[in-house]
Amino acid sequence: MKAKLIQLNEQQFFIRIAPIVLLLVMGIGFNIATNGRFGSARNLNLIVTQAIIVATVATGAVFIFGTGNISIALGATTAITAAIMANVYLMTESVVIMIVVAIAVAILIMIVTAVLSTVLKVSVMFVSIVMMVLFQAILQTILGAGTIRLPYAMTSALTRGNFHYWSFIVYFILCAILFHFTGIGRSIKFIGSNNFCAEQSGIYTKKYLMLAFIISGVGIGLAAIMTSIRTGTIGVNTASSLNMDVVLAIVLGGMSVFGGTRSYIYAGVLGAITVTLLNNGLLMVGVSPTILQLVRGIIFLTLIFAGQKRPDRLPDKEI
Amino acid sequence: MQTGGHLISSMLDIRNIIRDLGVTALIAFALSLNLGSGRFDLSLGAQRLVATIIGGNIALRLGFNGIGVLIMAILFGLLAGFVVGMIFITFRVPPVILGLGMAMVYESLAFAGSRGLGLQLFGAPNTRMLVNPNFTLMVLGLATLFVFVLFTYTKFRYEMQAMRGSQKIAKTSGINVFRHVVICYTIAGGLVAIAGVLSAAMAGALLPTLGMTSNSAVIAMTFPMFIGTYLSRRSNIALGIISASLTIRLFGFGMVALQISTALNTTINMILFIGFLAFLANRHIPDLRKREKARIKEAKAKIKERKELSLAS
Repeated sequence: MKAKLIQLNEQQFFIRIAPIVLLLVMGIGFNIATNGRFGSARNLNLIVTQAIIVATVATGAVFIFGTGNISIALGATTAITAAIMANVYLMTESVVIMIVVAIAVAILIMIVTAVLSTVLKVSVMFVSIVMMVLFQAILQTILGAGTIRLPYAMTSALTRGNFHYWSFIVYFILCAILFHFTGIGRSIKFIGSNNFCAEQSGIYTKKYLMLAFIISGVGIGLAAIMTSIRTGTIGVNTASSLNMDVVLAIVLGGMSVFGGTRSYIYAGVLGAITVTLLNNGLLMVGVSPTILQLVRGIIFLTLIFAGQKRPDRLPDKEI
Repeated sequence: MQTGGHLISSMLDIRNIIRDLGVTALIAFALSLNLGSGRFDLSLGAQRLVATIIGGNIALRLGFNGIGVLIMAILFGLLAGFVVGMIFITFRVPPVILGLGMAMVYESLAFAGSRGLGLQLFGAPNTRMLVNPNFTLMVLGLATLFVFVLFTYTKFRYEMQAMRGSQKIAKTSGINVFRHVVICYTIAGGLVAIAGVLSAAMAGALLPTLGMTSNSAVIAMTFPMFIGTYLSRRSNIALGIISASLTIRLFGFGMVALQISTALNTTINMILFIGFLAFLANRHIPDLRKREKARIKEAKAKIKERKELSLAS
């Protein structure tokens, strides 16, 4: 029985179909539990709007996770990018400059993180942990208890123009092409499967790690704009839950936390919808935020244990 | 010099330093158990919360005094750490990912278990001893002694050093790596529980948090832990961490004296930390270059010698 389950878990078809089934089961379950309120057009629209920010960051994060590395500073990077971008807008009052600055700042931050890992040889995971605390502290230093407010006219104009939908669609298509139809994606998956073999095969791992961070940086820049135009204000709590949502989305989307061949670009999107649906559904059912976190934690761990191939020995040498 | 006075000018300053040192060193000890072997447990902060809040509240309800609160928190800390360790060896997922999941669960348990109130020690009967700096020093001394003995005179030390080198070789050498890892997680849980009780005593209460914010208290202590591990090359890990924790605390004290905000202090600390990590990762490079230069010099001398020999012949 156990052997059959492991065999099933290793099948590509099962890996790809399981997250979709999970999403459907959750959706149907919540719809029944809320007497159809969950499935209303207004609520579904709200879920999509909320999910799109997580999906944008998670789509880029697939490139980093695909290499077998873990970054937990994506939320903090989004927040600091949003703060810088908002200040630039208030100074210039130009939307074009704001968008360019947001993407450039996010890419720059990600390049610094990648340089620390590739050139200075500090582990990605550890750099990301330190960066997360550093960015939160910088944001606290800059903003304190205050917030940056963006003009309603600008945020509503971008919202009406469906900036978030268009930017996400273009970014997702580009990422899908890069990840599944070019050598970049193949190399990233190869590095994630076996870093040593990839290096011995002539793949310059540092280059691909840098590329993964840059691509992810574009997504973070876009997510910073989306977050800012959605809320209109940037404070110390901006994107505070984004980081955990992204990691959760990647796992719920069916991607392996070890990266490699079990990495799919759609995992980020599928997972983002599932995470938002889960949050929304549980709150509608009447679950308190405390228990919501407990449920999220249990589902996260269960899916990791169920979906990941158990290695023969303990994972180590993360630092 | 900058403040125009002494950094430590009263008994209150000494008390504050002792309390801060206790919390910092205990968390750094806990981190060193797993981090030294490359496992970063992101649930340590949440373990600190759940052990102190649940264990402490049970002790208070049973009418225990300060020592009872401490012992009960340690027991819950050991249990919390043991559970994480067992899950880690059973499912073998990356420690950071496991830490994130367990932190979510433990934070919720600490919050829900105390109805958001946490552990309130202010005004609690028979718990005044917990705020006594002599008691803090005694607890810190005992914990340091425990870590000193553990890392110097026990079989555990050999197992840990073998694991730091190579898990595969350690296993082949007959070390039960799974048991060793569970012990590391369990002891770390107990140590952070002590830190939690000291923090609660210092502030009068320990409030639960949600949204993975419990991590920050632990991540901040990784800097003294790394400095301590570096210093331990010349002494012992226990002494190294105590020295590093004291240095960091005095640095923080200096920052407060210069009226630098906590956020800016954290920013400076993290920048220094990144620099220190980069130094640790590259400290062997000057030596390598020196050896390389010596090798080239030797080779050039040999070529010159051969040329001279061939010319002479």
